[in-house]
Amino acid sequence: MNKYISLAISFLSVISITHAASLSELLKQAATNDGKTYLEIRNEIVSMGNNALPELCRLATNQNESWNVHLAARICVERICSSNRIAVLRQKEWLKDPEFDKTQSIPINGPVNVIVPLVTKRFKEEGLWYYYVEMNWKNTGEGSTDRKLGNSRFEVWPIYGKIGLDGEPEYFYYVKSAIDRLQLDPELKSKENRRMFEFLKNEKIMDAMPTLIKNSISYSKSLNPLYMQRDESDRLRGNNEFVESLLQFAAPSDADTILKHIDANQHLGTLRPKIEELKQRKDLMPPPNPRKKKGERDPIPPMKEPSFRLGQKSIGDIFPFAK
Amino acid sequence: MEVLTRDYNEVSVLISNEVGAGSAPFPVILGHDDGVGGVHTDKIYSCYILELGGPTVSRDMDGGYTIDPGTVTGLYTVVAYMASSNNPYISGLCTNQHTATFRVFLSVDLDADVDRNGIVDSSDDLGEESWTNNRGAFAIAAFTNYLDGLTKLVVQPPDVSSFTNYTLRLRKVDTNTQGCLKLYKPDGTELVFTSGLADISSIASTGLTLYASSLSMWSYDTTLSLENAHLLQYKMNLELIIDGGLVASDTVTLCTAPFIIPSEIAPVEAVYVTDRFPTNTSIANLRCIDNEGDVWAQDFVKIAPCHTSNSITQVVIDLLHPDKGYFVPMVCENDKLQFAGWLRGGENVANGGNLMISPPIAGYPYGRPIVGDKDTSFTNYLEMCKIQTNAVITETSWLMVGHIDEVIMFADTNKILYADPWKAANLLHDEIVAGHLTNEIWFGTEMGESRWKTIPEVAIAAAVSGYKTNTILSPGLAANTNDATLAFSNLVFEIGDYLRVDNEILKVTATNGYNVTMKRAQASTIATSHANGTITYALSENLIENIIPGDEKPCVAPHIINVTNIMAHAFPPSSFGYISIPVLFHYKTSPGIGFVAISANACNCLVVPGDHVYYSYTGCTAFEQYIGSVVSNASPVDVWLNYHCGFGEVHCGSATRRTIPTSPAWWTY
Repeated sequence: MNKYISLAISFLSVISITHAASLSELLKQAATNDGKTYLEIRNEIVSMGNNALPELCRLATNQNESWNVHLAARICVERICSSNRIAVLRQKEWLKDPEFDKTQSIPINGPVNVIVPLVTKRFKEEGLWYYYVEMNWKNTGEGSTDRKLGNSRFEVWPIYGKIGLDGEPEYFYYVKSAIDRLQLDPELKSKENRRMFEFLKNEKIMDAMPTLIKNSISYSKSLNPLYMQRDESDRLRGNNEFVESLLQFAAPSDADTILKHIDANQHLGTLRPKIEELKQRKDLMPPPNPRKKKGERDPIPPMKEPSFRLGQKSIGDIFPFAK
Repeated sequence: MEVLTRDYNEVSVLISNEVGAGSAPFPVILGHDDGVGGVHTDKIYSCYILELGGPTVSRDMDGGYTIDPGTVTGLYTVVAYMASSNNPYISGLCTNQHTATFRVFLSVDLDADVDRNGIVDSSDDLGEESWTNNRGAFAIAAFTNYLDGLTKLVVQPPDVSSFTNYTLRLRKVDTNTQGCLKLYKPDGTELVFTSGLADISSIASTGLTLYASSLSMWSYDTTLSLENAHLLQYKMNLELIIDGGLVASDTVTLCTAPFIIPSEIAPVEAVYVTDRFPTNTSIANLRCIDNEGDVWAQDFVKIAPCHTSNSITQVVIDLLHPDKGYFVPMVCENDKLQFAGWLRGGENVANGGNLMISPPIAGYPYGRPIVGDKDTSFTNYLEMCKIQTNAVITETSWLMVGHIDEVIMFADTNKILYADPWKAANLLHDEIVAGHLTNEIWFGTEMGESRWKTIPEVAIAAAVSGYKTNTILSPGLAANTNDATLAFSNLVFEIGDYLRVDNEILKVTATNGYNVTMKRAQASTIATSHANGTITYALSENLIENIIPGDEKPCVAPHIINVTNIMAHAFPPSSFGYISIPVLFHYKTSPGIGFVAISANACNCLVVPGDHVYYSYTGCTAFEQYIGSVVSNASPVDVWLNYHCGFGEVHCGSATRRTIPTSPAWWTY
């Protein structure tokens, strides 16, 4: 792009940010943009500093706002309060951590695998939950600067963020942001999105069922690359079994969505009786799987949006105005 | 040699018509008339006499020349190289003196091996100021001050003995030269340039040999297209300043010699490894470096010959791996090798295992590059070198590490090894059918876990007790693709199991007591007849992820097919034998994503021509026998703990210095 046009556009975007009617609108823009544009909007909000905190805290839990506005607000609050700690975490030299076992061998893709226990511990200690979600939600490029982690650091940093969120209430937002990304990439063109799809499927996130069903065709096609097949229809090989495996953790409320998908995809017709069974199931949770494999996870039931905290402290305990 | 001239008084002289043939020789004296009756010849640098329109007949009159009319007749121009044009004087027995041309005409001479014959001499003058594919000197990209192999620049001693107020200096003409060309003196110290100039007046009487090296290879402006990027060229001027004026200069242009990455089967000069490399090899020049860093020598350096004139200089290219430790400087120090960086600006490549060069093939006298698509950054720079271009890009992004040497290796001029999970599955199947159920295979990726697994543990799905295995009962299975229902003698098989019966894969779609319904001819196998008593077993999860595409999870086999298809397009099977090497992979999802070898990856081997092909020992008798039968001089080494559990193997743990032939010279190609 011509640099003057580019400059003009960035100038216009600054104008639009500057003259945005409200913080709420800015948060909505942040929630629906990605990459550089997202960063510009987020940084604009963060630059408002402490003065913006009361309104951001209010919007972070306002029932009239959607989850993504809540999330954008919480990300900004955490940034205003903890930007230094985020920078320290990004700049952390992991191999100099006193608990890093210097005697262990470093794999060829760098130490990204061997430091997982250390990462888990430090990420939990830091409790920068919304930074962990953000790195998975938006392409911010704000990962580790520790070159000792090797080239793989760009790939694994969001996964570290996910590890930091495992078992925490804010995992809700990880799931939401994964679903959000998958809705924007129905073809699963991005490797990162395919990874998220596999996480949602392997961890049996019941909330993700509509998205998993919707993207299941693309996923099967990614497993059956075109160069392997005689024609396009061959690429759906295994899709029937894949969708059947999804049904193992579907909720009765998903039945109509799945049925609609089956109706639109002739090769899935044999699954229709199972949808009838699903519809008639009274329990939200599926029955225990008698053929559950070793290490296979139980389905994760629909989650509730967590209350707002920074680290381990409730936001109301930090800011009286947020009570 | 390029000479600056300043013309002064125009004089020409008719020398010999009045003398005539047969007369005695007569001197011509050139000098300065001091205006008070004295003629001084000491200011004459040199001169020669030219027959007008004809060739030079003499040089170096140095103040005077004796003309022999018996051999020299006609009209001559006397050209005197003088330090000053003041009051030129010419005398002799010429009776019909007219004007002569006097030129102040001092030469300086900077030479490099322009004619590429390995010697710097006067034959290098022609065309030295520019660089073409056919003529011009080279610089080596190198950061070290080892002089061996660096480009010689020779400053010939100018005769400035007649002058006192002079300066002889070298000038780096342009910004590239000022930024990237280094010159070393014979003692290894760097010649210091200030604002692009270095005063070398003190050497004027003896001459000087300098050694040039380049800090970069490419004139690489990211705003330019790849086609416009090129090997860096440098311009050096030698300048003589007298009385404050530039009286002579000489320009030499150098071009950086490109790195030429040797093929994986080129003759080996030395192999560089860390102290974790196995000690039980017969590699002749094994250089073991106690690194105190990582072990991944292949990713630390590429050792690339640079071909200049009639010599080859080996350059250790630092791939800027974050955990290379002391490996790179130790390799250089060990054998006094030159050292350079692959990229300008400290960009991190660190994926040496992802660049492989084929043996020479038609159209690619230096071999064709093969690069995995997980990181293709090597290809831009190879294209800029314009020697090893048109890289074959294969699919490696499905691998966690993503290096091409995880799946492909050249083992001979016409042999390509490729990692093949189907070969592994078939060899394990043969063992199961033969009843070798206690035989073992090394299997796993974790250092803390036992590597020894039995073949059923690896190949057969586990049942509640034991393994999911049985035999086909009478009447067996006919050769057709219709769904089949068979009764078995136990209840081990379940819906979703993939059964192997002979060479056919069947999928269990329903069970009813002992009756099992199966889809035939799965995973591109062919439905054949199976006799009563044929052993049947359900494939383990690992075999499913290796050979059954299109199930719920990613699968290796389609990717291997893609890789070999791409390779076969570039290296046709009519010219290359493709040898399958049994390797099993496993899909990891956290935190790295992708497949890693879970059995020893013998494809990732080190080929030492005339010695052995060193590969990772698999711990499986069947695999070992097979590899020994298809790879000449195959020699297994145990690298399980040191390399395999770090997702690498023998090739990853070694960097090899190999030779390339000097003919054909790359500039003739």
